[in-house]
Amino acid sequence: MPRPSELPSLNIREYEPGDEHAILETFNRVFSQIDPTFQPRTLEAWRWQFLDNPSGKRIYLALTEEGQVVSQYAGIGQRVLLRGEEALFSQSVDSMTDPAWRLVLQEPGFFVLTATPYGEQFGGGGDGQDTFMWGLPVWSAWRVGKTFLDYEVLRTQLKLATPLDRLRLEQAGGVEVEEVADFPDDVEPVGRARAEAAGAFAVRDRAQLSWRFTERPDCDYSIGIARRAGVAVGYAVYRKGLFDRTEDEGLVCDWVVPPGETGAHQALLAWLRDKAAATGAERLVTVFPDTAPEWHAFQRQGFHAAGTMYFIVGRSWVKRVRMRWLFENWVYTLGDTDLV
Amino acid sequence: MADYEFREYREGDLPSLLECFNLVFREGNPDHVDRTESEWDYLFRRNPAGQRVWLSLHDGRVVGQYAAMPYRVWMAGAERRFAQIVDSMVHPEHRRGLKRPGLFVQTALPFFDAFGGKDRDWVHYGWPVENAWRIGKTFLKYEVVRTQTVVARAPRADAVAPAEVEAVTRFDQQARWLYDRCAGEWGASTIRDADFLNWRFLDNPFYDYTVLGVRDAEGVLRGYAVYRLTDWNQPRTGVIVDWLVPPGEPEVGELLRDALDARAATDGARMLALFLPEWSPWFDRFQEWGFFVWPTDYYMVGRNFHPRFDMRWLRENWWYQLSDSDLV
Repeated sequence: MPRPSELPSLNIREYEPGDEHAILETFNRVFSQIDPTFQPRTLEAWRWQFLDNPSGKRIYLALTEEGQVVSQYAGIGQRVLLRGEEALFSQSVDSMTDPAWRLVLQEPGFFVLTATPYGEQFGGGGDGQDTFMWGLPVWSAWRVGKTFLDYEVLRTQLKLATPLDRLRLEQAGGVEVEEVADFPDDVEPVGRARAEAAGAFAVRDRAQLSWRFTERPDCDYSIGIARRAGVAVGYAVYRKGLFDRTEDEGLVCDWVVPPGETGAHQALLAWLRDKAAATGAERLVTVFPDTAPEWHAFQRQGFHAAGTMYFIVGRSWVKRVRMRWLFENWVYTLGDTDLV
Repeated sequence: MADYEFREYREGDLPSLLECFNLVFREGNPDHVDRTESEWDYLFRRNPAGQRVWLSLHDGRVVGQYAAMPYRVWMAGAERRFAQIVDSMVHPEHRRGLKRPGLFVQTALPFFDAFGGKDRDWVHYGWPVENAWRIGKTFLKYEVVRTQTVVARAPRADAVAPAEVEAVTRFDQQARWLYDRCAGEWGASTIRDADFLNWRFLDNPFYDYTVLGVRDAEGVLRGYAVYRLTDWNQPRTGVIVDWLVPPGEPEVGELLRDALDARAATDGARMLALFLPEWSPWFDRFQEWGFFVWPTDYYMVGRNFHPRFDMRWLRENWWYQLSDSDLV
């Protein structure tokens, strides 16, 4: 596509129904140019990611008069329990500027022109606004974000990994794992119990979990529910796939076990080991904050920490929620990200 | 601004500098021991990598300091300088002496002009706690290299010090030989030669360090570890302040590990702990030895003065240890 010779009139506004066609046209063109393994995103997958999310969407666009998307700043909504109260976070994803337009504007460029009103509208302490916006940026996005958007590094993210034969499992104490096709209703108290022990934890109600793992059109996940005497006491979600530039990892995509449920912990790890073996994965890999109890518990079972290409950055829009507090108190899993 | 003078340290400033330093660091710290002239001399005059001290003065008296400990670093095929920011301070009566960005920042900014640059220090760095980090980020262009972790576990109670491990009482040219064998895998690292190691550990007036070494049959140093019992991070922590062993020689590492375990157990240490970059083979090896990776309160932050070597590059290529800090 030829580069425009002069700055045209652009419309910078929130997403409107029907924009997804133009978004995907630009998105698939932009990302296919920079990622040789990129698979074009379908309309179905886009609608799932943004329109169907029970926690909502946030999208700002810069469009030409003809309706072509020049730039996008977007986020996946995330309902959280923050110090026990409902709040909103969002993961910023799919930010892009059409390369043909990048040099038309001097810095800060279209990326910032869409990100700034996005932040003003969706970030803040008001109803429906995000307390915290975060992301896992590529380096070029990080350079812009820190300079113009007040992003800060929350954590340089490590992963936890173990070959299957290094796992040290203990007795599950009468807890058994049932593999299910969708999340049952009694998984919700499990998420609430885990949230009570965390300063911030994403809501894992049935609607959110089903959207994230069973309704996703382009990935299949396995769901294991740990039960003691028939009652759900923990769950895990597994998929074999690409993570941190490594193919065929046995990914612990979600892991929710309330404190003290050691039987569920052991039973779910055994189930994950069996899933990994059955799918041909040589090791299990996952992510937790190093400040979360799961980080230490997984190391005790044989997982080792290792570096990743990822670092979490973000911006808190509410003074009482400091970055350091989030570093220490926000508990997340891979399932909170769009990485798996 | 007219009331303040900002300039590099000059001979004759020391009495006033120490008076201000001891006043500032005595505040709220009942354990503070006043720094002496000979201690300052060790830190800032005898450092083989040089001196970095910038002062703010009022009526001829020192009221603020921005200072650093420089290190000679092997990087991009030549010797460079990095510097750890230390002992920054503003006299309590002058903390409101200037409007934002305040005397602290006004003292720091010319420091960067004087010492940072492609032909001067390539990196300034430190491990600030949250409040200092906020100032550094907002006004001084510091960025996060990594959220600092520590690799640690309780010492093995049954460990026996191997006979092959000896106490090193003085480093000689063999230290540089050993360093050169290790540094090929690192993009940047403080040059561990006799000048640096003797100054940093064996001539140190503040602390007594134990240096454990392993030699081959010809008496050539194959690896060493520097140890000190501290209350850093947690009470009674046996800190491995410096670890220099070629990753391809795990048997040397195992001997030193056993000696460290034995020493820490004898000391009644609750933990053995060290800093390791996560890309180092030793990061995984220590975990195989039962060490876990824990978070700390520290951000490892830096400011690069050569655009090619940004925070990501530093995170992925810079071998540093607790010895590159003044934390222990």
